[in-house]
Amino acid sequence: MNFEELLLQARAGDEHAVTDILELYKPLLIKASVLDGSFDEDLYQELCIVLLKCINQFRI
Amino acid sequence: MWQRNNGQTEAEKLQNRFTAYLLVAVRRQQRDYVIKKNQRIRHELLMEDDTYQTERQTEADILDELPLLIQMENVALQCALEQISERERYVFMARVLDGISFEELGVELGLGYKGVAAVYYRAVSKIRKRMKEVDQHEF
Repeated sequence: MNFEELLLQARAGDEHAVTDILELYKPLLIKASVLDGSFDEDLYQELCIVLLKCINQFRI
Repeated sequence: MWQRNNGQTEAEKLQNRFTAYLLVAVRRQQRDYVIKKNQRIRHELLMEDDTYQTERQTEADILDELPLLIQMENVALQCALEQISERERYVFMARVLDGISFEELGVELGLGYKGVAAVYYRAVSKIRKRMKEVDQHEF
């Protein structure tokens, strides 16, 4: 499956597709959640929400 | 399942675009989060101050003693000021808050009147631009 199909499925409300994308971008989000050398759980949650928003707002 | 993305096919290009899009959103959220977190910490500090130092009654009294950047309530302006260079910030603040003339600043910084004016107006336009950006992107 390519990314475009995955993204379309995620938008259509397929939870598995959303989870796949989340797994795919987890390393990026974790890396971005590190503040002053320590992992910030709250920020990670916020960034997960940002990813979900992006999935819906991104124009293909 | 996933292979290295070389940006060759349309789907890979799309994914790269999505990643870039996500990165911008993530950076903005990071920045907003840090600003909010700092404000929360400052707020908590202020509350603590209040209990220990009863002789300072009003919030204004306490605020007066904090560095200028911390006193600011306008997140957009704060953000803009944090993004411009030290020199631009200094010229901007000196001119706007202390009313120091371009000539005096020029002597201090080793620049001519025009040089200081250029730095000042560049700072102002940068601040305007950044503030506009921040306001637009507020979720």
